[in-house]
Amino acid sequence: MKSSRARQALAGYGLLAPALIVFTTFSFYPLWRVIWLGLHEQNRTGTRQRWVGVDQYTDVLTGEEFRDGLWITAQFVLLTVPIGVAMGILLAVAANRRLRGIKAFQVIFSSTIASSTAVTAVVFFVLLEPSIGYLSNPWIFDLLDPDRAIFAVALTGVWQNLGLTFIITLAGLQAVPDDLLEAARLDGFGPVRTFVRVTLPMITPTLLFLSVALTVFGLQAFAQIDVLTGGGPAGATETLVYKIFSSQEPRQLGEGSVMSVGLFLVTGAVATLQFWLLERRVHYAN
Amino acid sequence: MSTISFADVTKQFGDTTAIEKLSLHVADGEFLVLLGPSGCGKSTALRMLAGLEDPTEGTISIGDRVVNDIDARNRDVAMVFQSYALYPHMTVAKNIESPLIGHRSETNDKQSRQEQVEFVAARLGLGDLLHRKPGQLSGGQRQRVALARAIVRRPAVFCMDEPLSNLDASLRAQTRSELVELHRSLGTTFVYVTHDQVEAMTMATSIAVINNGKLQQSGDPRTIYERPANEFVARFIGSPPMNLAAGTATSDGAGSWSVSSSGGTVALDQRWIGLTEGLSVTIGVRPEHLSIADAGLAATVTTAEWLGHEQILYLSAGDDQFAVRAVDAGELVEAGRSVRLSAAPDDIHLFDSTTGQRLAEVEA
Repeated sequence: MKSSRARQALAGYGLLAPALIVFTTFSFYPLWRVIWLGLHEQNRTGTRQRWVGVDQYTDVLTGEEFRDGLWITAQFVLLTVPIGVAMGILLAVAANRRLRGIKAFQVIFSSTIASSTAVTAVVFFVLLEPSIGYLSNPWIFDLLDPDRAIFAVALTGVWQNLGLTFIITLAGLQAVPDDLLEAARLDGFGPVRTFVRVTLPMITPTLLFLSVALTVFGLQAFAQIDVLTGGGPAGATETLVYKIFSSQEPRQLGEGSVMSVGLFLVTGAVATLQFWLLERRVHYAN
Repeated sequence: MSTISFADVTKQFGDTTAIEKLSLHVADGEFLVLLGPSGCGKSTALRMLAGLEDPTEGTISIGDRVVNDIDARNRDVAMVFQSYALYPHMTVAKNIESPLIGHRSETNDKQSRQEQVEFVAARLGLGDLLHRKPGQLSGGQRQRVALARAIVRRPAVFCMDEPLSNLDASLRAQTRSELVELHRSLGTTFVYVTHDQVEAMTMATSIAVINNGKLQQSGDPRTIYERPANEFVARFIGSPPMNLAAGTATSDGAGSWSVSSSGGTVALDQRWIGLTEGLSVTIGVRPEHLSIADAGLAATVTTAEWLGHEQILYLSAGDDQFAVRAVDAGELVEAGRSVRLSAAPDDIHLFDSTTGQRLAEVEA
């Protein structure tokens, strides 16, 4: 009896092993290592560490650098997530009908998912280039204006995620039972009222997932910023991730690690908050 | 006011014809049941009436208004779906209120809507459930909410698509009589789709039997049962179904006709007209009209089912199989026994074997 239990346990751990190895190597160990680095100060060449303890965390997380980065990151998230979700819904609703040739539009709308962020960023760099870009203008999209550069960066972010948002929203729309929409028609609801009162509540689980995913993407956005502005002008688009990326010299390693842990905590907190907030308004079908 | 008529209505989905040249008139206040096997097109007919499908050809009218080009939401039709189609995110009260919001009028303010919801909810015994969501209700309660949502606005036509099929047997029987009562008190025209002949026979004031997209027969339940228009209707209505046997019409030369089949010869009465010597016919007798007698068709009992108030016997005679409903169960008949079967001539149905249609009779 005992030996069979032991054998079962062994088999269980055996099956867990591959995932455990991968996670340990690429997630748990790096996470631990970052936390550890945050507790130390490095010399100029990175050959020696000195224990500084929690002080470094307190200093960095309450410092101006972190606060600035967090504020710029928040702007990027607030600009990309609501507009991204809204655009996704708009496109998905437009493409969710039984029309000849609609598949072509569905493919076009989802295509951004297949383009790499770096490539997208380069394309937008040309479009937004201050002297020749079609989209460049002094009112909204101006890469040279510290107050407006973030809009141009956010535009690229929205475009990049549009394919994913579209596909997921379309799947959500197609999962709404036909007879509910028919019942709404017989109840006298027009298209707008049907959408607001029936369709939208039915796809809130999808939208919840999307807003969490887009927020996390927003918090981690990097390539657009690197290609379009390099954090400029005058640090106006230096998000947290960009600041972490910039602290690569051994001397800055401790500070960068603390900011990484800070970003990790912020991401976790925001996701938890979103789930908590939205779940109260989410209607899961029975 | 709310009469319904289908005039030569055809519906095609690609190459498939779901409904073919359906012509049907429903009087105001009728309880029409569209009855047929699954896939026969009955639901399509209902959906065209409600405006959820467009007919390929023909016209549909409600009252004296042709509704072909009128959108579903303006047809003054309500529907109970097989799945009930309740909005899962709304409370019972909100679900019932929906049609009042969709068809808002000046006299229809929030207060009066609430009163109407409460009235209908009380009528259907949903008063205590108004603040629940559909997910917290039993199947029977959901069905009632769907009914309440449909009747709250007092529509001109009330459509139901197999509304009882998700209920258990006892609840189904109870709901049947409640629907009849509801129809009686509302006086609205009901159109009800089912494949269940018991539902049709117990509730309908008029039945339309549909098979393969074609109307087979329409009429009141009695006519459908007592004078089925063709072999399909004869077989489809009644349980066990009508006994049918192939035979040939023969005349004695003096005006009397009989049918000879593999099991023997059956004498006919004088009401059949248009019989010709040697015509291939199908003879039909309902199980309750066959009785065990001293003389008649020789048959052997293969199975006997005792149901308490009656006994159903299955017999074979020649190549044919028969079912007999024996109500007088003073003495139970056992399997293996040889008996003779007879039927009164006026209980016999005759169909033309080639067309399947009932043969013409002299009007009684």
